[in-house]
Amino acid sequence: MSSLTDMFLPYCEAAGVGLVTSVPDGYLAPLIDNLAKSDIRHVSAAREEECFGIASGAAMSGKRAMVMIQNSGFLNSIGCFATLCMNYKLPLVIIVAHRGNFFDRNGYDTEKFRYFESFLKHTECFTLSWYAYKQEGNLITKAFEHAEAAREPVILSLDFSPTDDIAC
Amino acid sequence: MLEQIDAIAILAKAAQQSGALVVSEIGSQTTWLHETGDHDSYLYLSGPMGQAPSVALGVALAHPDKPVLAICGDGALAMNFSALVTAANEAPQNLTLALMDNGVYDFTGKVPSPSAAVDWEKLISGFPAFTDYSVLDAANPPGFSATGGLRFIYAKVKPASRKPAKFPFTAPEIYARFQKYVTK
Repeated sequence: MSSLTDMFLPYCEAAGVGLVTSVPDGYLAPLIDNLAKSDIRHVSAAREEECFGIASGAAMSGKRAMVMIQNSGFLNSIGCFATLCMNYKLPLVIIVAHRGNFFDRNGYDTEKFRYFESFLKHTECFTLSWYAYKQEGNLITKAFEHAEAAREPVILSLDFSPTDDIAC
Repeated sequence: MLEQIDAIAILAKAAQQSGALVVSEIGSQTTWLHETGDHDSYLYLSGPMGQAPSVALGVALAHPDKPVLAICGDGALAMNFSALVTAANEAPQNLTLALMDNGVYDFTGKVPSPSAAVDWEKLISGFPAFTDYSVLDAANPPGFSATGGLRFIYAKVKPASRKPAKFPFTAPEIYARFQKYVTK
């Protein structure tokens, strides 16, 4: 099994992703670096809430659009997520670096994990664990297929174990 | 000084003549734009305050062959100042941000906006990627093109003297018809 770092760009290209917008994180940085090697339009946003706006504009224009942010940035942006992405029923794929899990080394990430877990639990947003399902092939394509069929955003949670090559 | 609906009507007419896609900020910009006359090329925002420039950037990057106009309010743009940073970094050649500055949060019964402290021309001059800053002139309406650069139009408008008509669309309806229009 190749690592996510190796497979991320081929997965995005196979999924037909037209635009990715991000605010970086240690988990996300190697993936964002790979986007520079492709024709996929990447927008570096100043704030995570903007990512939801930019991706929503692209999605409503007919593109497959993806957001890449950390869980704390998602928490900063819940109002926009609710009133834009959920309200308009947009088929976005949102890759979230879900920091602060049991294996994460930084103690200051713990509260991000706790509050984002609570958000997911209480809003019942459709979420897929990358770690749990990484054997299942191109999860980005699968996430878009669900998002478009169900007309809702899908969160792809990067919740790595300490043995994964991308964990840092 | 123009009423906001009159300023938006000038921009809407110019957008129609230029074939521009229009993204309107929630609240007064969306409802006043709708009152000027509805069109399938309008992507009305209804819910997320401050997101018009970000959504418009996404539209502009998705369709670089089409001019895109974002109609923003001063209070809303103050909520999402960083959208100016991101737009300037991308510098799409087909995006115009128009600011309706009435100095208040229009739907709140005239609560003043703190954006009264902003000199918008000086602010925009700090972003070299903006190729043009102009004040809306009813006698000389703007045109929009896909190669006109990243532009900013400022309009000082009066706080509304009445409430707009009820806005008739749901968010999914807006999305469906805009996507159908822009991908046809």
